[in-house]
Amino acid sequence: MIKPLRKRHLQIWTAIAILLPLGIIFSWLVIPNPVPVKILQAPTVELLPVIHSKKDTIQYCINIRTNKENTSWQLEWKNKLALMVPSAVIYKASLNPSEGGTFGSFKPNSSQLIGRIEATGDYVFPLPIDSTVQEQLQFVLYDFIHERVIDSINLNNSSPERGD
Amino acid sequence: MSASYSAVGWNRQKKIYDWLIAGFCSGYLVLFISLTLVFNEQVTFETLLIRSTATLAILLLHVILAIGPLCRLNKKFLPLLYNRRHLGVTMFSLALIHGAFSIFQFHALSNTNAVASLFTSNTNFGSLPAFPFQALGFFALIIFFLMAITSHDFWLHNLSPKVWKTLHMFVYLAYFLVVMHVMLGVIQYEKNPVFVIILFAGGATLITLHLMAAFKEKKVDNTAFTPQQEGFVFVCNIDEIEDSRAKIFCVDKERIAVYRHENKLYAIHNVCKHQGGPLGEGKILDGCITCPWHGYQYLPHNGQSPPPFKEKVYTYDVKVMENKVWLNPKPFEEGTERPGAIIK
Repeated sequence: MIKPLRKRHLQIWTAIAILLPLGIIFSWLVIPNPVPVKILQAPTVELLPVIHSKKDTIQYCINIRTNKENTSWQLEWKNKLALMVPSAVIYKASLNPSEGGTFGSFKPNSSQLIGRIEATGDYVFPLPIDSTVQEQLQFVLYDFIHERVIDSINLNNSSPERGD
Repeated sequence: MSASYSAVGWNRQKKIYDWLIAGFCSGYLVLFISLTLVFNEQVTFETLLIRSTATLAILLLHVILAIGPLCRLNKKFLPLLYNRRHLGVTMFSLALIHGAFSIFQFHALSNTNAVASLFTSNTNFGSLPAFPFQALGFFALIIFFLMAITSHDFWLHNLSPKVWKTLHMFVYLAYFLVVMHVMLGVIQYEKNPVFVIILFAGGATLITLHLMAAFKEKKVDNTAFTPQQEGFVFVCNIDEIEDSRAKIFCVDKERIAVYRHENKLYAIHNVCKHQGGPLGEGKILDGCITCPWHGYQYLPHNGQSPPPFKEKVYTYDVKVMENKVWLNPKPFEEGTERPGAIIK
């Protein structure tokens, strides 16, 4: 190396010696607490014993669970494959009969948010269901970034079966 | 050293060097992927690739940046320097895999162009924790790309050593960008301090090594030579220079290597024309001064590379009086033949 180059190296590393620790320390200090991205899911949920209805596809397996008295309900969502979007939310759909009651008329603002799913794995969400009212359970898996419906699930009422 | 350009001038040392690089990288990737699968079996293939290549590229970048000062502090590290550019190209390839898969994973499914999405999906430039860290990694990758494609001697000759060296010194900016890319990216989602400690230790090691080497060189540069006699300065006693070796002196801001060869002393400019290697730290092989960095050779009596090569360095007058070595720091034209000083 020639002398000017040696001098430039010394200048650069003196600058790095000041800037790099500052950069690391400031970045360390601003780490948010708690971590900003959190899955909308109860931390540990005990599964209810009765599976009221279920649906199994290649992508996921869904169980609607309840207790013996049908006073409490859960949506158990087993994500078998990775999503093709960063994350998605599940809505309990409220379809507009005047528009044919189809999923094409789905409006997130007028639907009930159940929870958010991301990676493969098991997710359990409390389900607000009025047991006195016979209703068909309709869910929409929604990509909220691109604002589009990924999938729609229509669960037929069936005889309850014993859960595991 | 080669009279014509070839993609890689393979020799035994380069093959051993590259096999070691390939072996280390393969071993690291296998170990990283295996351990990740043991502790997190739900991890996806893309995530594994993104994380394993990123950590390996950062590790290699630290090694690459440490080689230069280590060689200046201790000659035993010189074999690492010999083929450093292959290590650099390997590091770039890993960083490219990391970057490409990251863009694919996080931006390819968007309606926007993936690269445009990288710059438009997050514009929180005013916030440190939410800073668009991916852009920092992207710019570092561009610098590594330019360095990788110009790493061949063809570009060194065509761009000129000054431009080439200036371009390659941007690696220090790239290093800073990479550290901040990590700190403002993955570290913001990580509570375990071990990653910050590792990154900090890596930075501290590099800074210490570079500053130690710089101050060692500065000491050599600031050596004062007296007394003067008809333009000559006394530099050392004859027995301080080993046969076929040199001693380096910085006289009037220029480093000069005084070589002892076949009972004569010769003085040439210390800077190799190839990549600025210290010629005085090499030795005479087959009658030629051989640069310790990449093996470029010069004849001691005229500072010219042996035909068909065309590199030339400055030559200087040296004389011996009563077992003392005297050096005239006024350079002759590059490649000028000098008789050398006979040792009686």
